[in-house]
Amino acid sequence: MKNFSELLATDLKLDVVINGTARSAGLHELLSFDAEDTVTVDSIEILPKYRHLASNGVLDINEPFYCWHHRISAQGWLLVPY
Amino acid sequence: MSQVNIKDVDPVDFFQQHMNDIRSGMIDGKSLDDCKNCYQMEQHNKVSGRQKQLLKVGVRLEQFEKTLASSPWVDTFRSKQFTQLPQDWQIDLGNYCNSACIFCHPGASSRLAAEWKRIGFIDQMPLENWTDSPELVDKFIATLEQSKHIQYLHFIGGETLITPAFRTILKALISAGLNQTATIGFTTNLITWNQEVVDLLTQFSSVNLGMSIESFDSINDYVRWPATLSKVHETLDQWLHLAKTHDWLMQFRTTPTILTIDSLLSVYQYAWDHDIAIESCNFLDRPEVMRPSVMPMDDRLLIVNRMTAWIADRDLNVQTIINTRDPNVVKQQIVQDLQSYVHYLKHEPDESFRLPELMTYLKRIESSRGNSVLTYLPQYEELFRTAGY
Repeated sequence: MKNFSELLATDLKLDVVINGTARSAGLHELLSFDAEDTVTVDSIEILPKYRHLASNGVLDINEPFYCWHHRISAQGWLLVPY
Repeated sequence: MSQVNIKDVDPVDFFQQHMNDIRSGMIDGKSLDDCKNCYQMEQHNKVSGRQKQLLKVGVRLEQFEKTLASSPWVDTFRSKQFTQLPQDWQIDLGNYCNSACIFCHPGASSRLAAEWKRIGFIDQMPLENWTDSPELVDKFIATLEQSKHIQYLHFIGGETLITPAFRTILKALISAGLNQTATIGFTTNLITWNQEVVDLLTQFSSVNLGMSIESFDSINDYVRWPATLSKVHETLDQWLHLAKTHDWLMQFRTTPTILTIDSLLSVYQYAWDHDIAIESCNFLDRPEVMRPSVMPMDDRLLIVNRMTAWIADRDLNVQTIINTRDPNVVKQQIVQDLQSYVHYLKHEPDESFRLPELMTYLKRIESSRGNSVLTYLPQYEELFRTAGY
């Protein structure tokens, strides 16, 4: 298991699959999907599950994916530093 | 972690400085002895305290590396200087308590402490509670008042409702306007009602109500002495009515022991019927004689069979729920919690060698209380007699 420093030095990627086609994306990359597509990120279903969050046919994820997923999947408070 | 006292150390200094060793250990990837109860819970697929706390900073064990690197806190964790104020508090108010639960200890029950002193289990009473000192309570309140981003304060005791400092702190939080933003959580023993405190609680925008109970069978009277089930039901009905009126989150807080594991299902059934979540504590570690694993394996497997059948009857597909306070998955969370006890009872090593020590303890405490465990658990008479009862 990596320690914290080793972890931060690792280039971690998201595994994005759109309609069966795989690509990778950065952990902090902003993502945008056609709401009609079938999408998973790290094997987590995104579309069609969250199609109701799309606007004008597009689902925009305007924050790091895992922060967004925390909020929309009812994981409770996400504390932030002040 | 070094033992420190609010008399000597400001809570913020404790959080920022004294907890550095824990943070450093975690960052270095060490397994910490202070975390052993959580490791044991995870071993039995029970959602642990550390999982719940990690979730609040966006970190999940099943996707640990990516969620940690994505956490809003990653730069804070990376920094050598930790200057944050606490946003999520667990506040132990001391040991004022009108219950003397048989698995409890003097540090958490003044009534048990007095009884133990009387029958010779202890020579001296525990140290005075910090909440007995108006100066320390004021110091603590001043700390809260400077922490404008408090999300959650959970109070435990003792019995919170009879601890004067609980009322004092709630009043101060309201005066500071923190009742508009902070969620209050507390645990109460279901034989106490304090209207003045209730009136204060209703001024908070969000409340998590924890209710301690071990069984809806009569063994609850023996274990949570001197509670009576009739009083528990009466008080529970009051809380349920209040919680529904104010949309509070309700949870049963159970501490399963060898004495209650046989009738634990009664709590899950009630919770299921009334949509109340269950958040059992970590698998009881001390006193060792009270661990459910002291029950011989053959007896445990009979309980496991009943629990397994109950779960199967619910026919729920349960995926791991870390946010145990999500009101939309109460039933799944109830099943998840029970599943952890099925796993524990099936796999935790047999500690029935502790039964004679348990019998010695029960007989001494019963000599003070004038009761008998066999009145409540006649099915275990042969087991207990063989062990020396």
